[in-house]
Amino acid sequence: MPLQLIPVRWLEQVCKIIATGDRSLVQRTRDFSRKFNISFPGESEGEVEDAFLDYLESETPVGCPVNMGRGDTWEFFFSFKGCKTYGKIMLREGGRKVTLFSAHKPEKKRLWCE
Amino acid sequence: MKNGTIEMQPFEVSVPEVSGEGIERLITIPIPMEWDAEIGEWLMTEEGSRLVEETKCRAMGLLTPVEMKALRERLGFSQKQMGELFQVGAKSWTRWETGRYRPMRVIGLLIRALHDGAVSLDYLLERAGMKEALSPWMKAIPASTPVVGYFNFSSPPTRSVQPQSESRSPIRWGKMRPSRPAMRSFPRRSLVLQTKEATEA
Repeated sequence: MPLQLIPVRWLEQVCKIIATGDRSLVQRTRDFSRKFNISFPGESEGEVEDAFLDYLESETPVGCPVNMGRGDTWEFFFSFKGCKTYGKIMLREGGRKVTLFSAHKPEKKRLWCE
Repeated sequence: MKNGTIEMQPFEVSVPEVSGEGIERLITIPIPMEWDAEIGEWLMTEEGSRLVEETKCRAMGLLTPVEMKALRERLGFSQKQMGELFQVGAKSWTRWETGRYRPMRVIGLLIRALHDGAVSLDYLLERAGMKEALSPWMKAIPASTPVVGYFNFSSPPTRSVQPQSESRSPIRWGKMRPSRPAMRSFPRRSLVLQTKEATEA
């Protein structure tokens, strides 16, 4: 299965929520922070949210859907501080919150659907 | 475990090398995390993220966002004026103070120097072209006067430099901010310190 265009509806909802910068709406998992800190020790987590937006608001963001049992999750590669970075975001059920699962240097060369 | 349970857990804070790329050392601190039963994951709480950021700032010798805000309030400046003082983009100081972004190490060092009195406010005002616009009485302050020694905001005003006359030094403590028109009209100097934030702005 090739990389897929990330659905516009998902993009719109996720970007709208991330752009609020509201921590009660934009959750970060423990692993998100742990791996981000290791990959980018000199950077702050707030900056990566802007990098997410840059990529997800670009013309053709692509990625792979991930079945997490709940919510609507996509993984993708994006650029952060000039580095290829792995990202994974879940739009929670109800579409009012997002959970940031990953923003770190890739552990695998390809996404699962590539 | 019940959804929303808060528990203190150890978290390894990565302190970057001076280059900003590698890890100089790890500091383990306990931070509050929240259990999300729906997805079966521990979530970072806002307090937890703040503790991580503060630990990292302290280890890097930078002011924490809270300390940056306290410094600004002590000086009686707006966020925009602090941006002007350090010759960075207008939004940069705001981002630093809220903790969303962290200043480059070299700028962070300069902010720390102002905080510690190792560089004078007068010097920075002059370099930023703000001295004329702020107030004529600023001219009376010797360039070497550190901000900590000159401004004593925690107790009734005392001055290490006495004005020559009342008319020359119309200091109204707690009202240091110049009028808006004066701020708008002061000259923008070319950026001496090129920062990534300034570039983005």
